[in-house]
Amino acid sequence: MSKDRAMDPYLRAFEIVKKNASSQPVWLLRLREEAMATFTQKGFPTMKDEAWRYTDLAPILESSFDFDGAIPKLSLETLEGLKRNSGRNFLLVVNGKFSREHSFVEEGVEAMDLADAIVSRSDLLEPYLGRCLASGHDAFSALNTGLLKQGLYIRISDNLIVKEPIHIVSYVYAARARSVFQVRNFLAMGKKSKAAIVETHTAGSGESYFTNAVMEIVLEEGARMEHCKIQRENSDAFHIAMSHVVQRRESSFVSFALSTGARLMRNDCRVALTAEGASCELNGLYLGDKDQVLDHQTLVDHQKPDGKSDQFFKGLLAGNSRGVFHGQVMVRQDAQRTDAHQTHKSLLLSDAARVNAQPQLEILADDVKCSHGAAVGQLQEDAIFYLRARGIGEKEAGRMLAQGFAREVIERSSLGFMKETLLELVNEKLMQQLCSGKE
Amino acid sequence: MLEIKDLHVSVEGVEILKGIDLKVKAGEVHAIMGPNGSGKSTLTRVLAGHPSYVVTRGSATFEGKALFQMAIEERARQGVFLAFQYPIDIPGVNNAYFLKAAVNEMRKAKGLEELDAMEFLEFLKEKMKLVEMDESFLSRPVNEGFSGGEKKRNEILQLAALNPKLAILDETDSGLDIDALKIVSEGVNRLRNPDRSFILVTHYQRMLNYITPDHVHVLMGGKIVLSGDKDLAFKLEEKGYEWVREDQGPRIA
Repeated sequence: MSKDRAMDPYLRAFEIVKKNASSQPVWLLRLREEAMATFTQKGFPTMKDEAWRYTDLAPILESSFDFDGAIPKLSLETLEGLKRNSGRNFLLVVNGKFSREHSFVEEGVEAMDLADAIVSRSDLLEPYLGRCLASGHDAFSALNTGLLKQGLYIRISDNLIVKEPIHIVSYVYAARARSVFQVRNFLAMGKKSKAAIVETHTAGSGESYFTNAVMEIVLEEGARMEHCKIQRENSDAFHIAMSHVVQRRESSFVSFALSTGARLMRNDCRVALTAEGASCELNGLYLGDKDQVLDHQTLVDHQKPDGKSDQFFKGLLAGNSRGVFHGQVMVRQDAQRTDAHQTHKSLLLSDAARVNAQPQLEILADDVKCSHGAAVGQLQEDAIFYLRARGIGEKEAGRMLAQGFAREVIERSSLGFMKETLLELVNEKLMQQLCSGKE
Repeated sequence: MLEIKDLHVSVEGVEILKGIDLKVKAGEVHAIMGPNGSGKSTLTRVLAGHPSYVVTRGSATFEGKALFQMAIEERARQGVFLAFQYPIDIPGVNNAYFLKAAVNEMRKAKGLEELDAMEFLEFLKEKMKLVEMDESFLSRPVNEGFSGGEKKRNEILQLAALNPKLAILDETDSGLDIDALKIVSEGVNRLRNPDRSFILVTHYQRMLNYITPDHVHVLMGGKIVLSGDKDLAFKLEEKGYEWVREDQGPRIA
């Protein structure tokens, strides 16, 4: 299928959106049209685009995806499974749609369908929605904005300390084969508020589908947010996600991205430190096997003085899987006394696994502390020998070393409350990886 | 317990051991001494099964079974233990987790039930007293950031916990200050018993001031050129290895 033909179903879908636009604010229609113009102009990226040179989108572009409108009914058992570990805050999105009836949040947290918020919170959303990043839309986020239908709107008011983590579960279930879901979340944290968000992407069945997710986060002055994103889509899924974070003065953003699922994943996290003293910590851990492609992109944009950023990513790759890490740090002229660090380490568990890591630092200020490092390695023969000499079997020795490698990111991150869950998910995936590695 | 016959070993095509014969009976302590490069460490590693060392001729039996037929972990489960000269760092794996996995492998091999976390901790605390290690060691990653002395004590802790029949100590005394040496030696002495044998590989005699061997062997040029009792060690300390070379000249290839 040609690149242009791949765009056709999306352009047709936009025509339908436009027809039904009468009830929407004018600003939204304008935003959609701008976004679709961007999409039409840019088209889907190819490997000739610098930002996509290691990730081949052909499997997505060659499939024709349907826009599935049906919402399946979930069994009680499934619901209980999805709610596991969620205390008082649980927001469920099924096949791209917010499920109001199954969601609940503690007092003070405002959570609603984004479609409703566009009407009732129009003034608040207008300056931000689709405008969180100075660099504008790429093709996928443009598509998401153009076709935006529903999603989640969460607002934490000024000074509110949210007691328990807010679990957002994006669940795909009994969808028609080859469905595409545009998932959109908007999150605004008021001044000096504090909250932890756990965002999980998962599926209850094995069809191939395509999740195109965009998350926009605005942190007002002094707001503190912890964000954990767990991507465990099914093994035939495509997952393209973009997070835009805008940080005001002295706000703090700590994130952890665990990626184990999907046939092809692109996780792009862009953080703009737009005022003095803002800080962010981005952690990531990805585990691939078979033919998985797991692609992480980051951009931390230091715009003002005294900002801090720390990125720490690790990948474990088995089978024929491929990892991509492209980490960018931008320190603008104004951003004096910036403290920015970035590390990427990967461990290849098979001869066929590959990784491409590319740090990119652009520093225009003169008084800064910046560092970056990247390393690729394999399991150490001496370490395997040491463990085996203590009676530990060869396979288990490999698993212990790989787990030890993964554990460092989890231990190092400031997301202590997720430690056990993350370790459990890592162990589960490691068992699969080590089996696939032996094939 | 252990019987080595005419053992020849090569590393990357270079022959290091050129015909070793050694018999170790239950309860005996054998010291193997020799100058640098004589093949001492090669001998310990080939017994433990390091994949870089190739047996080109000869055999070794452990309790009547062919040692070189066994996988690395199988040797350990049968009761062969090597205390490493340079213990390996295992980042991200904490010491308690590692020790518990190892101890339970030994128990499984003996048909015993595995210890749970509580039982294991109790079991290990006893062993830790032996080498005067405090509990903070347990939560640290294996050997990572350990001082030289801590690493060696950790090896002896593993020896105590895994309860082997044959313990091979590769230069456990090297890099230890006098206090650490005493602690380590005292630990070994308390682990001596009529059913357990030791092979102590050392360059210097000083550890043998604390641990009295039953037999002392001199390894030179890949062969055992001289054997004796503990007095041989004192003689070596006094006169160095040069006199052996002169004395045994023709035997050293």
